[in-house]
Amino acid sequence: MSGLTRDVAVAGVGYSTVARSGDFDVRTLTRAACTAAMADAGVGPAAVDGIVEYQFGQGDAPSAVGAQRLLGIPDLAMFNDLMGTGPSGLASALDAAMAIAAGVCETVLVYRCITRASGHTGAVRTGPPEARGALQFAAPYGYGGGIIPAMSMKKQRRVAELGGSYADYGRIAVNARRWAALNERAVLRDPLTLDDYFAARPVADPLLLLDCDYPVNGACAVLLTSAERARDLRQVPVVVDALAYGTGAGADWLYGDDFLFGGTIPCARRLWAQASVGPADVDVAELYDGFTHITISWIEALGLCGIGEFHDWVDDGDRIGPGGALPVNTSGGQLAEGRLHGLAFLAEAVQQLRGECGARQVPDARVAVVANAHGPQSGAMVLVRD
Amino acid sequence: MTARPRPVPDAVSAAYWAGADRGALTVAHCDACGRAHHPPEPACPRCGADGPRPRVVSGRGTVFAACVVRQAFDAAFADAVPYHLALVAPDDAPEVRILTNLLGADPAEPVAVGTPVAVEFEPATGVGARVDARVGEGDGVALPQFRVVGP
Ligand SMILES: [Zn+2]
Repeated sequence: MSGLTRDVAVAGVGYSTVARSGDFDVRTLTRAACTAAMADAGVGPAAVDGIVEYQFGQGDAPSAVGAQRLLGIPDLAMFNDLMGTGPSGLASALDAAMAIAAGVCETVLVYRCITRASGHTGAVRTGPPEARGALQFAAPYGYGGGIIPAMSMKKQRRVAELGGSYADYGRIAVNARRWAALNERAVLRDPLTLDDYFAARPVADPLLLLDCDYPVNGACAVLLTSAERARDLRQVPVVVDALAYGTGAGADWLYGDDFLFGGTIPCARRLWAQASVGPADVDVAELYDGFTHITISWIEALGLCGIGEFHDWVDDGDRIGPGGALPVNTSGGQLAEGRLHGLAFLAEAVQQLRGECGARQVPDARVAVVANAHGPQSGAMVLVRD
Repeated sequence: MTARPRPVPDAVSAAYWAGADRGALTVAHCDACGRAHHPPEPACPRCGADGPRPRVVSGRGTVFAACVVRQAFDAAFADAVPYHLALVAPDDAPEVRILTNLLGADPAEPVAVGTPVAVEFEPATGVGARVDARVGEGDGVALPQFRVVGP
């Protein structure tokens, strides 16, 4: 029995092609990922009665009803278009799980489609000459690039306040490539050394290029349904054991009370309070890595090690790598598989728990934790093989 | 050169920018819970009380966190890189962080956490590119900027 009022399971996952360049039609990408997830679960369009999607609202994905038409789904008992201030792509799955648990619908398709054009926040933009709203306190100082400067300042502050070193951040980047070498879908599969990491171009010193994830064109889809129904479908169900959100007081990337961890700590506290398992039971962790700081935050917030202990715990990277005691980001994550914006961490966790990951399979993985975003947008899920 | 963005005061921020134009740095203070916040909001983000009021602070503080922007994200700052961006904690409102550039520091590396700084005001042209104009006589908005005053 999970922490939800009705047990929910993931019954299918799917990907489109994931590409580093090119001009893609987001309908084609979305349809490919959704069709793959439905085929994986062994269901047709008539079995789907809910769709939730997450996007930036910049033409990066079709709307939920747009996807309904792409897939020929007769009617939707529940749908939602989530915009870019939630826990990234995982937000769609969190929403779906709650709707299924509430009994509003039975089988929900969720997806995140993203293009390089919309996902490339480091691009040079020409902003309006007049800075209004929240921008009036940021744009006149040359604050741009989304949360890039915020993440750089968190990196600097963390090492000053909690100790460790910038090499800790490099361990996350190196780890991503070690796993990506074992994942044919990953776009950056060449190995990386700590020296390579430090030689990377500084984007906003101390943030280096290799602290940032890699923009791609692609889509990922996940099919969720009641655990009861999932047991009649094609795959071994992966049950949603717990889910939680967190924002933290003051809820802001720059001005929130907890500058280093944002909402990750309250999110993790709620997650484990609800779960039937605990941090010591985690076999594999798929933790957002839009920036390396985020992954380190989640490792500590989730209690996989203590706050400020990552430096010693990570054991020069061995602990989180292939064959390590706690494999982290086994697909290569967004740093190396590509920035599918959150939902692919859930899909990878599901495939690990189903034992389908081939060369990168974590032996006998039974419990996974998935976390997305950071700051005022934190969200996480615990999954258990049925 | 593309013009740098100028702040446009609104109903909530007007007192902040008016203060800056007089050479006074303010934080928004909540009488109900006694805590300050920045940027100013219509209600206290910590307790929800109405009517936070601007409170003048000394303008001295320390660097809470800093970075050096090396890749321009806004075309208007393409000629400004590398430049400092930082969050400053005022000495007399340490729970507050104020986003600023840092003047008087070598952009070869970020300024260390804890470094003392003091506010000054420049016409709203950004990143220490002071023009020969007096505060209040530029585009009508003075921009608080912090200068490194010690190691
Ligand atoms: Zn208050």
